[in-house]
Amino acid sequence: MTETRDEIIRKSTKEDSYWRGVWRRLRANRMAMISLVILILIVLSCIVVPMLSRYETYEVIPGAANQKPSAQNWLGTDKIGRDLFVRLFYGGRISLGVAVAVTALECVIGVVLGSVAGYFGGIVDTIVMRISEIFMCFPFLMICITLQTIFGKSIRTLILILAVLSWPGIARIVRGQILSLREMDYMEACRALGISNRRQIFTHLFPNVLAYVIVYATMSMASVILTETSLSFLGLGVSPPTPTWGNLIQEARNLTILQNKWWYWIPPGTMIFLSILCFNILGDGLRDAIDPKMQK
Amino acid sequence: MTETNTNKPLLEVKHLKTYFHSRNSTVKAVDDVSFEVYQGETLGIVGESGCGKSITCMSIGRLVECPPGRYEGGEIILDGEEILSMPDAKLRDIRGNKLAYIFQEPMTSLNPVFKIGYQIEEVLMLHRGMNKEEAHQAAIQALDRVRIPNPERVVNDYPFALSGGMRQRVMIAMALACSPKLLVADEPTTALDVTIQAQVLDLMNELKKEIDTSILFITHDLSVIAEMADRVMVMYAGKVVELADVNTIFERPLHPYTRGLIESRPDMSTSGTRLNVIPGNVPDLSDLPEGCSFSPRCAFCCDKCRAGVPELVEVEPNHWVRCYRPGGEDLDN
Amino acid sequence: MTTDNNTLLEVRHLKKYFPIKGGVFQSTIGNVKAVDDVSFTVKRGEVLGLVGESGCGKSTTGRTVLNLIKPTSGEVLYNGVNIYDLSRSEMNKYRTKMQIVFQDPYSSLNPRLPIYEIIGEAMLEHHIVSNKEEMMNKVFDLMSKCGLFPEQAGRYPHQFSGGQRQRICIARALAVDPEFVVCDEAVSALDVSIQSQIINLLKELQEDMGLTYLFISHDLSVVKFISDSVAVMYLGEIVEMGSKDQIFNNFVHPYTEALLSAAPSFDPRKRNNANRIILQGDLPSPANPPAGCRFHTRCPFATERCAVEVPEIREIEPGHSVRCLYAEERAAKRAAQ
Repeated sequence: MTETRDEIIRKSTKEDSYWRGVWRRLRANRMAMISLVILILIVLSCIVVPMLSRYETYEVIPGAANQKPSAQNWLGTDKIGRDLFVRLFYGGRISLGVAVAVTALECVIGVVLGSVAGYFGGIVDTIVMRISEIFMCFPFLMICITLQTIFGKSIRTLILILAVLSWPGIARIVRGQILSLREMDYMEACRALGISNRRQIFTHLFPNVLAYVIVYATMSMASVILTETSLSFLGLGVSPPTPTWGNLIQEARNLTILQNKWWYWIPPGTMIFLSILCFNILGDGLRDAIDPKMQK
Repeated sequence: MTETNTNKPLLEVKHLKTYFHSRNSTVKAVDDVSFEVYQGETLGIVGESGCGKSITCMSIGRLVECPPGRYEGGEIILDGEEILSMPDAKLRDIRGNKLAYIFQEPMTSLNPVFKIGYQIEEVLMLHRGMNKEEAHQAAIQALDRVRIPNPERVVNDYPFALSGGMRQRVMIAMALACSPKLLVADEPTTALDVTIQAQVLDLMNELKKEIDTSILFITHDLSVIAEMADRVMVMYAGKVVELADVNTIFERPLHPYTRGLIESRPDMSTSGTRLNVIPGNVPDLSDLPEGCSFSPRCAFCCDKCRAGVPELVEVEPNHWVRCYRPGGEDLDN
Repeated sequence: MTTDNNTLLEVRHLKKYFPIKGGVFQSTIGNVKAVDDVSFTVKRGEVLGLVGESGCGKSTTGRTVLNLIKPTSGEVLYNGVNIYDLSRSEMNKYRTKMQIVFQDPYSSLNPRLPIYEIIGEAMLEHHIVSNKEEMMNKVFDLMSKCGLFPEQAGRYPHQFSGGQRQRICIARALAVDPEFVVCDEAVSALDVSIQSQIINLLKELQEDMGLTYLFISHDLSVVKFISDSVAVMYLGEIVEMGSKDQIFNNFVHPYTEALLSAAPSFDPRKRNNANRIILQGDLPSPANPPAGCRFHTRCPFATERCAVEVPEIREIEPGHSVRCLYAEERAAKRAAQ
């Protein structure tokens, strides 16, 4: 008997667990898998390239301003002679780093407030939801400019501002999920069985919400990259000389460069395009893989 | 009371096969089903979830979504016309006109944004070529016919203003508005309460006498079948397993599945310590056993049953059974 | 109604009103009287069937009795103790004695957990078992008792059919060794051939383990089969209550009569029965029940008195209570027949 029991527990955690099913369905989705691979490659090269490159990010190569791509400078140099190849990937570190930080922060705020609203309901729910509505009404750019002038322009402020302005989305999703999960008979069964609140939340509610948070986070990565890019392009984001994909494009903001010096803006443009596209496709794929309707 | 008609049937379904294809499996939802419905009779189709009864009735009006569904073969002849090969325009003319449907969910079968009257008028204007005023009067009449109180007021109501039972009456009114030759009722009372179900069944029986429509009545509930049907067809795993008139089915069922269904029911008149049960689970259509689909749950199963699929045979006049050992032959001694 | 040793559960004047909110400030503008002054007792080891149509309050009664929904007023005495007076932790101890099985076997199981955890979690929680090893042994026991294969304990809910899921739900309810189980339409969502399997299982378990059931169902034939006594509900009130024989053979209330005659007969030769009562009209809204007798709007025997006077529920013979102004006359007429 002991043997079978151990076998059962081992098998159950191996074979048919929920997350295995999600992974199996995701693997069957070719587009999502390609996106995942591309994203992994982008992240890896952002980490590795600046470490291996013979140029430093801020290093000005003497007498090598405005060079076309060549064997020494694979993506050319900018107007004061910095290597654009290393700056592209270092910029990727900042852009992706900001996206990860903002998404993480936003999810923490959103999940906490959303679960509190959904689990306790009543007046708590009303208060949290009204606050989230107020946040959604803010004119984004104006708040951005105002806060940056008040708190000073830095990457940390930027992350905080973006996270604080975008948590209502995830909070609403989490709240909605919890409200519908609370109506499920298995939650009622938990109450009838006298399962502790802690176990109800962490074993029954949270894993069911987590899937949706992961999908949202993936999608949010894409939108944060885009927002950061637009802000940097407008000069409201990360301040130069720190490179980000947005800052790199910002440097190409004049007609002669756009027409004649493609290496200023095509590579960062491609990176932005690729990463956003991949995050979105991966997010869609995850949603399909997670959706219980696909499950029999 | 059910003298079998010798005249030409109104609906003939011959060797109908409706399959569902997905990437790695084929589900034979309806597998070689043949039956007839005669003028003025009610044929009941009974079976459990996934037995193919609903798909059979959807196939008759070509309502199965294709893909994933596909009509793999067979013929459906309604009033002399073959439906499966008919052009779409012709089919649209037949639906609602000669052939009408009532579904289980009166909530979702009515469009919530249009008034009740408009939804009935639309059908009449389309199929009967009535003008707005004629259609409006006809809609009031149709509602009156299904015993809806104050039809003049109800035509101007929206579906949400009505209760479930009333909505189902509206559905019946709409279905009967063009006096169809065949009414297909797919679990029309399953979503209703017992007392409301009694009202609706009573109404359907009265209307059937009034307008001489044939009814194809699909349900999982044997007692509703006992109440409504003239003849009964029992389906299991996409196949017809027994077909006979209603008294024969309830008094002398020959297929072990039909017997099991009838005996397992805690009927109003029986009371014992245990119910007779059919063991096992409702089969998964994508993973059917070899041989007779019912063999793993059958008390009379023998080697022959596990090896081959029995044919539907007429074991006595007008009593068809798909079983090698109808009535547990050779075992009852 | 006195509490003797035989009474396991006594419900006294239970009321549950759900407020209807409306207006700009979401103030209460009315009440849905889902359960309105319901009293009944369940004897130890017996099955009380609770029948009625949708919206009559039978499910709310079941959940309020288990303190899953807080009542508006009333008492539920379990072994003589009012469970609404208990503190949170004391109530938690009582949870092990009273369990529930739901209608929908699909939403009753958490799709993320393997079966052994679904069945076993409450055992650890209530220290019924001291370690995982003991828990697994008990899970295996329960699974085979409920007609499941213990080898499947590691599987997840989506790998089971509806009937098997319902068996899992039953095993989960029995995991804490309850005495009293509320079966809330526990077989209604199942296929006919599976329904009878589950009914047999419930009956078997009841006899083997000495369980007491509150069996809630809209299906009269199922209730007749499994129950020892029956209560009929209409619009939040019990209209008739008595032993199985009293309700099914000597019914007095016109609603009981209508319910019984509305259920389609299983015998095709009995159709077109002239004595059949078909109720007119729809169920009134429990937010705004009719004045007088709540059933008078649909009652085929209603008089003017019924629209004005509110009937009290009263015992017309030992163990048989009826809420009808004409209960005694109707009972006498029946006896004369």
